[in-house]
Parts: sequence; C-alpha cells; structure tokens
Amino acid sequence: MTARWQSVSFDERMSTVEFRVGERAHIVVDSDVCESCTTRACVTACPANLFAPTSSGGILFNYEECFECGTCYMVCNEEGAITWTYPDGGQGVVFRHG
Amino acid sequence: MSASAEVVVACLAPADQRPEVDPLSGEVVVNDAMASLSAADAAALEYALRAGEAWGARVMAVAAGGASVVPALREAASLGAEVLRVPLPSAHDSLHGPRRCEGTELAGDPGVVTAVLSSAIRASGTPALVVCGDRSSLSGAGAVPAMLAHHLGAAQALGLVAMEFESGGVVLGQRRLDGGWRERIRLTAPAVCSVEAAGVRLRRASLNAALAAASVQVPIASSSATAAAAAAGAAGAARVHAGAPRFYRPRTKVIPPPAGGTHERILSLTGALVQREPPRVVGPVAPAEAARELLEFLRRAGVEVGQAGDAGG
Ligand code: SF4
Ligand code: SF4
Repeated sequence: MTARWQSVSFDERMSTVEFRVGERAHIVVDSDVCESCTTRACVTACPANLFAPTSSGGILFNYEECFECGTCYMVCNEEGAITWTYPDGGQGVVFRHG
Repeated sequence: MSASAEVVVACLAPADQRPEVDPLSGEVVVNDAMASLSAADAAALEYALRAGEAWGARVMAVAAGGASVVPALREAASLGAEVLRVPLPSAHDSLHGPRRCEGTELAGDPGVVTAVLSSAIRASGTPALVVCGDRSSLSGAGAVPAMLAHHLGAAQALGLVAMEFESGGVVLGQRRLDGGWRERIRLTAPAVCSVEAAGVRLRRASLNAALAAASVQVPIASSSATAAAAAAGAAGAARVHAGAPRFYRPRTKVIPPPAGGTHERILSLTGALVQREPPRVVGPVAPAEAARELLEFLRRAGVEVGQAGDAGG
C-alpha cells in the first residue's frame, strides 16, 4: 500500500522555512550557568532543536533558526541562563512553502 | 392520544424522475406520463406505513395533480394505503406527454399545492402525522412540508434521515447538521415531517396486491373545496416574505480555563521535565565504549540486555 501522506523529516521541514538571520542574537545563553543545570529542559522543549549539550557540561546554542516562540525562556528555571530580548524587525523566520 | 381513530398521511409528489435536459440550451423537457415516486417520496411512504403499524392508524397516500399521479397512488394502494388524488386548479395541473418547462413552473406554486392538500387532508380525518419527501424532484424548494404544518397547526420536523415511532403518538427523528453532527428530535402528534431518501427502502407489494392495485379506482377530492382552497392559498402566498438565508452557527462551547501557571502548562505541553534522563554528550568515544554506554543506557531504561562485557566484540 502506498502511504498517501508521507511523514516529513525534521530537516526536510526546516528546509522549507526561510530564516533572515539578524546580526544580533536575540537569545543569549550563558553556558556557565547551564553547567549546574540538572534538567536540560530547553533541549527537549525547543521545537527547532537549537540547544545541544556539550561534552564539557555546558550548552551550545544556535540562534540562527529560532522560531522566536519563547518556549526556552518559559521552561528554563535557572537565573541568568537565558537572556531574551525582542528580535530586530524584519529578521527571523519567514514561512515560504506552507 | 388515541391514534387508532386518526390517520397517517403520506404526501407524495410523483414526477418524471429523468427529465431530458438539452446540454446546449439548458431546456428541460418533462414527460408527465413517466411520473413516478422519487426516492424521498418512497421513504416518506415507507415511514407512513410504519407509523400506521405502530399506532394502529389508517394510512392514506395523497398526491396533488392530474392523471399522471395515479400510477404512483396505485403503487401505494398495493402496499395497503388508502389513496386520494387532489386535483390542482387547471393552471397548475400537469398535462400529459412531453412538455417544455422552466424554473418554478416545474414544481408548481407551493402555496397553492399546500392549500389544496391541507384542505383535502382535513376533509379525510384528523391527521396524526403527515410524512412528505424533503422536496419534489422537479426543482422543488422543499416549502410544502413547512407550509402544510402551518396550515394544519401541527409541529414540524423537516429533512429527517431516520424516524421511529413510539406509542402515544411520539415520533423520534434524526436530522443531519453541518460538520457531521446529528440532531435528535422528539415530536408528539399532530406533526408534519419531511424525510430525505436515506437508509430506508419502500417495501414491495405481493404479486396479488400489485395486480389488484393496477385496476384500483383512485378517488378524487372534491374539486369545489380544493378550488376555494387554491384561491385562498394563492392569495396567502402573496403575503409571504422571505428573508436572506442565514448560515448555521453551532452554539458556543464553554471550555474551562486552563489550570496552573504558564510555566507549568508549557512544561506539560512539551514534556520537558517528564521523568527522564537529561540529555548529555558521551562521544566521540571508541566503538566498544560506545556500545557499553548504549547497553548501560538500555539497562537503566529497563530493557533486558546481556552483560556489558558481552558487547566487547
Ligand atoms: S538554558 Fe536553562 S534549561 Fe537549558 S540547560 Fe541552560 S539552564 Fe538548563
Ligand atoms: S525561542 Fe523557541 S525556537 Fe527559539 S530557541 Fe527558544 S524554544 Fe527554540
């Protein structure tokens, strides 16, 4: 049987989205604070998969494909780990192919 | 209610079910000699027969029109119904043979049709229930059942897809709504219902009954009374004002406000803190060590695996 709706992989889905990358990161993650974090809630919660744990115990964050959804800021409980400011106008995510 | 003394009426609108339509000009040619019951009319007759059985009431099939409606009434007679043909004023009566038709002329004036039907029905007894097809097959607007309910002072339920009959003259109906919803309706006699051709088939007459019905004399309602009713119906129709149709809007569904703060709700939506091991980086490591790490992880997750040393190769 041919599947009518094929599941789309995460990478494929992201490839249909255009991001206009601003020069200034609107989210800054302080990896030093993350070293003491036991939950790593941001890694699971970020829908764009932008948080990656490093072998040294910190967090590597890539702001370039951020949806600007604010989830990471809501789930992170550590004081000063995430600094979130409004993104600059005209930058960020632009949906292209539905 | 003592339904036994009363009558259940099936209102039929036999018509040519396959009129010819000119594909270029759109001209419709109807042949009254080919008039038969539409699927909705057949469903109405079947439900009327079931209601008659359930309530022990007489069943009467009524059709307005000329000689062209007689074969359909004979079919109803073969199934045990009393029959009555109600003549329409000559301007509305159907002719014989093929004829060209346009717009509303196809179905006649619903005000006149309703007036003559209701006067003939009243003259034959108090109707406990009147069942009609949801619309006549020739560009019918489906107005007759509602107007009939008004004339007879009866409750109405239109466009039903199923009917059941309980003692005491109770009708349980089901109606389709937009978006796949169904509405259940409970009515008590007297009532006028119209039915869609859905999920019910008209029973078949025995051969003997079908042969006997072929020569049945179909009684005709008194023409003076129907002419007066038709005149009143035509005058009444002029007073009807129709407004713009409104779309169906489902009722607002009240949903309780979410419990807990935004932080808790985001956590439960993303599952970020569900009992689990926080992500960590273990590589790059040698294959043997990676395999051991994986087996350890599976063991912690409750999966039965062999000793870590087994994976050394
Ligand atoms: S960003 Fe917050 S949740 Fe994520 S690792 Fe750092 S402290 Fe933990
Ligand atoms: S704002 Fe949303 S998409 Fe951007 S890093 Fe945070 S969770 Fe990920």
